[in-house]
Amino acid sequence: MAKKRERIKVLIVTGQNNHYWKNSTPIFREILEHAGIFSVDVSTSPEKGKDMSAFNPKFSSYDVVVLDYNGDSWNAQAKTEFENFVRYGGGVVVIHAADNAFPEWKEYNKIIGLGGWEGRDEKSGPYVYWKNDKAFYDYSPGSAGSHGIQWEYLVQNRSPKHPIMRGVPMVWLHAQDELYDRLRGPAKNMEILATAYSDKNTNGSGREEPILFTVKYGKGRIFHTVMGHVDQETVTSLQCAGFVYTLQRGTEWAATGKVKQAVPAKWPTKTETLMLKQYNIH
Amino acid sequence: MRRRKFLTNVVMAAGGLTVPIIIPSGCTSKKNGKTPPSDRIIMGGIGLGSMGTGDMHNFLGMEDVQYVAVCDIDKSHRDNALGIISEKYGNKDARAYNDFREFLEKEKLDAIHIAVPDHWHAIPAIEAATRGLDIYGQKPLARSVAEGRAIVNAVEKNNIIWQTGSQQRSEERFLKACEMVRNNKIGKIHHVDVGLPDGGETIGMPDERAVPEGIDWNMWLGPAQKVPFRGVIHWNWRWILDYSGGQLTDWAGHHIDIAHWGLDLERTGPVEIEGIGYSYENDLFNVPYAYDINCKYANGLTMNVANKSKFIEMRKGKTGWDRQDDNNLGMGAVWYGENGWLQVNRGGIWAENPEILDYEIGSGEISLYKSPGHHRNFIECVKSRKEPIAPAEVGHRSISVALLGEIAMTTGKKLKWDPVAETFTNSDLANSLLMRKYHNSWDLPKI
Repeated sequence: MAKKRERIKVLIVTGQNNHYWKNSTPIFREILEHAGIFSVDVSTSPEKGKDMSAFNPKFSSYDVVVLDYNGDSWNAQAKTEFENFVRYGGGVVVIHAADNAFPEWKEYNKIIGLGGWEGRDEKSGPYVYWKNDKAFYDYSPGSAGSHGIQWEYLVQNRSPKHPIMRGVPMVWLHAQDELYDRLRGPAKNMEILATAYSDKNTNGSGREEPILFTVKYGKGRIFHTVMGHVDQETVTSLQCAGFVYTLQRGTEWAATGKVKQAVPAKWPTKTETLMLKQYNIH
Repeated sequence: MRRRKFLTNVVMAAGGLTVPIIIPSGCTSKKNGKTPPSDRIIMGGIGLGSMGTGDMHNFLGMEDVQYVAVCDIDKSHRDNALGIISEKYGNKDARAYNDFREFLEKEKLDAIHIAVPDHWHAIPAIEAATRGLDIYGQKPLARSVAEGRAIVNAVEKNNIIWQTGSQQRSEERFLKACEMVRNNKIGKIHHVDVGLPDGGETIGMPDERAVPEGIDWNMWLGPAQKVPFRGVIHWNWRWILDYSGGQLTDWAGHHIDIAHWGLDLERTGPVEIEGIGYSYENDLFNVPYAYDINCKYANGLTMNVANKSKFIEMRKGKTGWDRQDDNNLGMGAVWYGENGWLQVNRGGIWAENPEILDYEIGSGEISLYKSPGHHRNFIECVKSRKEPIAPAEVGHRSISVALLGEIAMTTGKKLKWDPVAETFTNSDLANSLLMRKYHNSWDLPKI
């Protein structure tokens, strides 16, 4: 008898965010479940301002932790367990505002690679963006994290040989979203997978900003997507096929170091977005 | 005939063995004249698309709930749901059905969730209520006023527990806002604005095409008129009037519900309604994308329900409305009292006088129903036989405002409504629109 293929165990951590996590978390779960290779649990923190001392997600029972969290500090035990989980080989997926969280937690910032807002500045690490066809580390002083108006922007595949990006188009039009710019952080062991030009006409930075990248921390693999802004009534960016498929692929890679999922034939093109509208608000 | 199970299947913790355990019927206490089920609630679900799967996940996370069966007209939904259940329990014992009648007939359940398109809300809900099953039913309660009333009657007659999926009630922020309004923090209320999303997509008239394998299109249509398949089914049914009223009816169960809750109007309705709406011509998607409904209640209070763009323009430049985030500006419930306004939505809570927002409820003040979470509240009520936070009557009254508004838009008249008898007193045409015509030999079940 064929050996039953074990599903990859995913834990989504959520419960506080400056974005409406009650919209986004169920969609992340659906996106991952539809890939057919994950089993997904959700750990929901207490509400903002409430006692966090008993919030201790069982990271070590999972292959990969997906962070949809930007809120109050975790207790010391939870922080230590999370660091150890990653250090000894656990996978992490960082989505959008999860890279705003925990400015004061050093190891977290190493894990996410780049972050923004919440007082981050040159002490947090360099700005990282794409220049002369490679990652450029800019140590000039200044605050970290901003974005212009929401718009549809072009995503450029910068690492077509990486398992996550192999077979993925070299360029596609992402659905309307915030484009984070001027992120900065330790950026150690970081590889940029995709960038987007942050147009000054949209009040952006004028730089080619990293929007998909990986980080290695100890034995752990981290996949970071800065896409994925949601409002209380719209989840447009999560419906982009490019967002959906890179999240599925990035999560598998963070868990296993490989990507066995086939690249779907239909992607957004250079001029047309491709929306998967089944991913919508509950 | 009412059936309540006396035999139940319990998965043993060790080894996942399934053994029948006999629950003696005579030795448990009776409340509301019915026997509380065993400690573990045996559940199934009708509708396993995105909403239904989300509901199921909420229940699967509870140790005192077990899912044993699912029902959906799309095989891919059934397979996905069975995969999640078997992953959870480590066995393949759960069963799947295409037809809800077979599902209800064969399965011995305590409770179900129903998460199907609006035009399908009434029939399975009434059939399940008649069989004594407790129901977590997605909002809006129904596609028409008469269907909603029929669901309420079936729930009450059979003494079942019904939770409407108006889950904002179980969120602290909305509770706080409603308690502030009830306790006169902005004084006597004379008006409330309800801002719902700008609505509607446009698609033109897509060509007829083959129904994908695994989808039972005729069953999906059910009591709606027979039409060819044009590629629109899951989720996007909400832009077609045969199945939904668009954003207006989709969100009524949230923000109209909250507006009602703050005003203690949740078990009555307006006495006057007029409305105007705009929809795309020659488009399969024919729900109003913009709408503006004005109502008056018996106590003189007025309510406006409109798509949010209207409010964004209206409120810009007013005190306190200098926030950058347009998305928050127009949405939610905004009560206007003698001492200023108070707004709540999923993004936050605001007041004309921000100092009042430090509010903590005092002793002797009106305190509203506190829920430990919307799905959890349902399960606790299934056990205690107490009324949940969003019972059928309340769900019926929030969607009724939107449905009456829809009828007012259709007739173009200022309508007078008797919220007790639930009839219009000045328009036969409007009264004829209180019930949808059923097709394909489906009928509302007798209650």
